[in-house]
Amino acid sequence: MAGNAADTTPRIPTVPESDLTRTYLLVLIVEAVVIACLFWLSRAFA
Amino acid sequence: MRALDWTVVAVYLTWIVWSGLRAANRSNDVDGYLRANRSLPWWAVGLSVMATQLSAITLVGTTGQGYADGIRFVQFYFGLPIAMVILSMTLVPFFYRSGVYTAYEYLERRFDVKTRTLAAAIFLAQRGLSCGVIIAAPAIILSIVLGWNLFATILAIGVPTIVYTMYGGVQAVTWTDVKQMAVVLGAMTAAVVVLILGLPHDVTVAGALHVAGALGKLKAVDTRFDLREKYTIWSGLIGGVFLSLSYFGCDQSQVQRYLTAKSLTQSRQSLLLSAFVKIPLQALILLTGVLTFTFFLFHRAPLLFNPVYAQQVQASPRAEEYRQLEREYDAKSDARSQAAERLAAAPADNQSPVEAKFVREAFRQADADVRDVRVRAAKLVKDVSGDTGYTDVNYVFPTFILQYMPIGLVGLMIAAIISAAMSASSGEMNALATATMVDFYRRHVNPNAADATYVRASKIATAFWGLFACGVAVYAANLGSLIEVVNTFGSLFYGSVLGVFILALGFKRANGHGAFAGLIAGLAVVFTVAYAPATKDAISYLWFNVIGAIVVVTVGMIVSLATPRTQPAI
Repeated sequence: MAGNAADTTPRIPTVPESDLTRTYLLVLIVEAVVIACLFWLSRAFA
Repeated sequence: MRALDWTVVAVYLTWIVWSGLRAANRSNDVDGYLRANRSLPWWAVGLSVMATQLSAITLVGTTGQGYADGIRFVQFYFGLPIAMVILSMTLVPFFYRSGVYTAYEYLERRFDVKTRTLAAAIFLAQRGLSCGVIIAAPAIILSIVLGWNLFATILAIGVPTIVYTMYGGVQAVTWTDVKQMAVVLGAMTAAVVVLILGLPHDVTVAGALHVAGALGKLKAVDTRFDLREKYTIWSGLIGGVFLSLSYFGCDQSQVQRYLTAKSLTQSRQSLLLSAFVKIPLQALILLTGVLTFTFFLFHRAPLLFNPVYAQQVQASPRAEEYRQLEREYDAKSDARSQAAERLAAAPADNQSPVEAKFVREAFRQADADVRDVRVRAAKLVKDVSGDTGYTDVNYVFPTFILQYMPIGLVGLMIAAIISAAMSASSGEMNALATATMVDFYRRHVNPNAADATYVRASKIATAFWGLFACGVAVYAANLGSLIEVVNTFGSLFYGSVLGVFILALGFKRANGHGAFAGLIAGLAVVFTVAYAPATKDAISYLWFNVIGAIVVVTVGMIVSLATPRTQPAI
């Protein structure tokens, strides 16, 4: 059986939220840059 | 430790407990105690997410790993930012909007009570044990290097944590986490400064990195695709994504952190803080280990970093053999130190490629000679003590702290190690208590009690899990090898639990019977792969997360299609 009577936690009403698409893209770009820097580090000091 | 160092540690402990207890005033009802009334800012929640993950094992073990093996362990975290983005777009809105206290509560709304209860029980078993290890690992190290009583050290870490977590709830956990992260970052910065200032005058930081690089310690990215290799870019990006999805998306110790944020946007932003910071932070901690290695090239390190085993060997019938090894080690360390100085100066000397190669090869040979002596010393320890798993990498950084950090900063570093253990274990205790109260006590034992009853039950559960963790810590400390077993324990469960949440979110046709059967099948397959003689050394543990998730989704969908469709409660 899905759901249950004893589960009384109230749902949170939906409110408008900020669009974080640009932040997500920035996360991925920063990760790529950091990995590239680490790759450079291993080459530069090999 | 001097009086000033003791004072620093005592002031730190008093400050943390006091600030944790202050939060008790804001934790009088269930929502305040377990979810901080959804009032916390994203940066505090984000730091708490990071603090819960950054245990003393991370602080001491990761620097030791950097010392011994370089920075390649950083690849383990490559999947984390991608997972954070996926979670922010998928699971976090579901959890936040449904108003749940635990991740497993959501599973009942989507599937059924048996799936929720099994997932919560897996969390309690796995996290209860790991919380003990989080306390045991630094307690063992501190008791050995400082000569403290082990039981007293466990209590010194565990009891203050139990007290402020029990009275202050999630608000105490979050705000003390913020302070503890500040202590850890401040102490690590101080250590890096001392390490750099401790290099010889004619050795620059670039020269020191050049020396470490000659031994491959700065090789951060391994592009080979080999399932047996623990850390490659592929195991990090693929296995690491699944591990991070599971840990941050399905583990109550993390889910509870971001459910306390003021809004869904702030909840997402708290996770994205880790996405930005985690890889650079871990790289810096590993680089601190690499710098410790270069530091000890120019300052004689002990042959054995674990002083208890060194004393044990010196008191054994094979003491003369050990003294001979020490003499050999001293001579070879001197030769390596000179070779390192020549190599560190090489970039400034405008050497020809042939000369530079000769200097580099001479240093590599000198380092191999030193390692050879240390391997023989380790074998001697194993023979004398009977501890076949002996390794002393976890004692490298504490040895540096005690022997080379200035007075006062030693106290700060010890406070940072205790701090890391407390911040990680407080989050665990709080999450264990929440799952116990919400998923078992309120769901199965006492569904219609007053708010005050649930707060009291949560406090009792916190005390229970705190004392349980201290008990596990004592037991684990006496059985050293158990620590390693429990550390890899998590990977046996994470992928399968993640698979259930993938079924919940990604497959409308999936039902409770499918999720439950899939979870059992996933666990069975992962345990078989991990322990069957034919496969146990063929696949590295990061891949268990991928295997578990795939098996759960596959079996879950087959069973769901074979059983009647159900209507979810959400």
